[in-house]
Amino acid sequence: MSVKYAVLGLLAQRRGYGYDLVQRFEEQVGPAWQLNAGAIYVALDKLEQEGLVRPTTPGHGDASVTRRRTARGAPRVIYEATPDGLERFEEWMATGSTMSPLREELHLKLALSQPRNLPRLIALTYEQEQACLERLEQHLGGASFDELVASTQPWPAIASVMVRDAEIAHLQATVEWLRRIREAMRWLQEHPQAPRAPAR
Amino acid sequence: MTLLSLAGVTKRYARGYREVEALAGVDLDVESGDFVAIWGGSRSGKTTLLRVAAGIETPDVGSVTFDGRELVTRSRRARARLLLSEIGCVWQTGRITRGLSVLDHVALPRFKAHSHTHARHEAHDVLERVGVAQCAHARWHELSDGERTRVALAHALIRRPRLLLADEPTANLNMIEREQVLGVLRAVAEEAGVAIVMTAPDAPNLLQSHRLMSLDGGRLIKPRSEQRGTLIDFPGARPARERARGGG
Repeated sequence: MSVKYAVLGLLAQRRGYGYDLVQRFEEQVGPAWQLNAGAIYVALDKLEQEGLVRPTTPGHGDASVTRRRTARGAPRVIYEATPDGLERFEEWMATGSTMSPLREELHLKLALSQPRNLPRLIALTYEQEQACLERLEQHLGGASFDELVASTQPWPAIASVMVRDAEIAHLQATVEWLRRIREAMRWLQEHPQAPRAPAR
Repeated sequence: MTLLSLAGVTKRYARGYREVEALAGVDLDVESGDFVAIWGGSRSGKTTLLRVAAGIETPDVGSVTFDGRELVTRSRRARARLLLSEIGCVWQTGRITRGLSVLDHVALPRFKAHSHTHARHEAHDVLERVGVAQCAHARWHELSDGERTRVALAHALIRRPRLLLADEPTANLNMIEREQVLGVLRAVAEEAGVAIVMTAPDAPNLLQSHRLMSLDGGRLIKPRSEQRGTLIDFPGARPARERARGGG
């Protein structure tokens, strides 16, 4: 579970409490991840069980810093990474990354379609392309990748733009794929004489 | 105010024995100060779209209006005059005037109204702005592809057009040059209120614009937030913006 290591990494940067970690995750990783805030708390619990993070001990200095209260009055626990945690995080950084499976609803519709669905499938490719454009629109006028890399920005800014660029690259590839299959489906529509058996 | 408006523009070409639809029912409104980026691959129809918008080609169906006046029905002469004064174009196949240096080629449109010294001064400023001042005294054959595009951009900008049409102005540029060109386009739109329609072959080059859309097989595809009417012939293209405005 990669969110677990991201939480560990955030705590390795500096200590923090649950909601603070949610905000820092979104700031550094970007909105494309579509983080479910609950995952951060699940990760914190797991990390604590494994001894990789711990609640900071009140005592040195002001106790209110470490155990502030949440809006509902519950004590707000501030976590920090343990030496084991820091070591585990470094290990994680050094290991290869897994790839997520590609799971899109459109892929299922395509796989389970029939030749008679061609017009609707072509329409779906347009709709999907519109959705991609809408997602790309959110990056309009954002800090330009080129500009940041070329200038003397601090590393966190560059790293976060590189992560955002991954979404742009993904959307671009999706649109190019949509255009390819649309062209193929249009051709099939215009050449219906070729016999095509329906799916089993 | 809408400066350029394409409505239901369709353009077909004969290619060999078959007919190719380069544009299929394109609707596009561009206002002054608007920077529109159109994403299209090769054979998507993007160059045709710009040529129709410039009045160089007339559509088979549909209308093109510039500043509220129909372009399609205007004389060739009137359209040529617009191209010299109000519509600036940057083509991928640009050339500079034979025998001139880059500086004089760019200064040429200003020679008539200003002293040559003044015109050259201005040309130098524009060349500097698009990052090719070092090429001022070069000849065409000495320029790289990326430099040629930027010289063409300078040539278009020096006339201070109200509408700028640029066909892949970021092609053949490196990271820093791309940044510079897109920055100039954005600034020209925002500061001078020039309407810009630019094409690009990939997504990252679109993102310095104000609006982006995609062109494929002659069909202009807009983000759902912008799609109005039945632009694309598929069921489910609902007029999202009109609904949001309460049916207006």
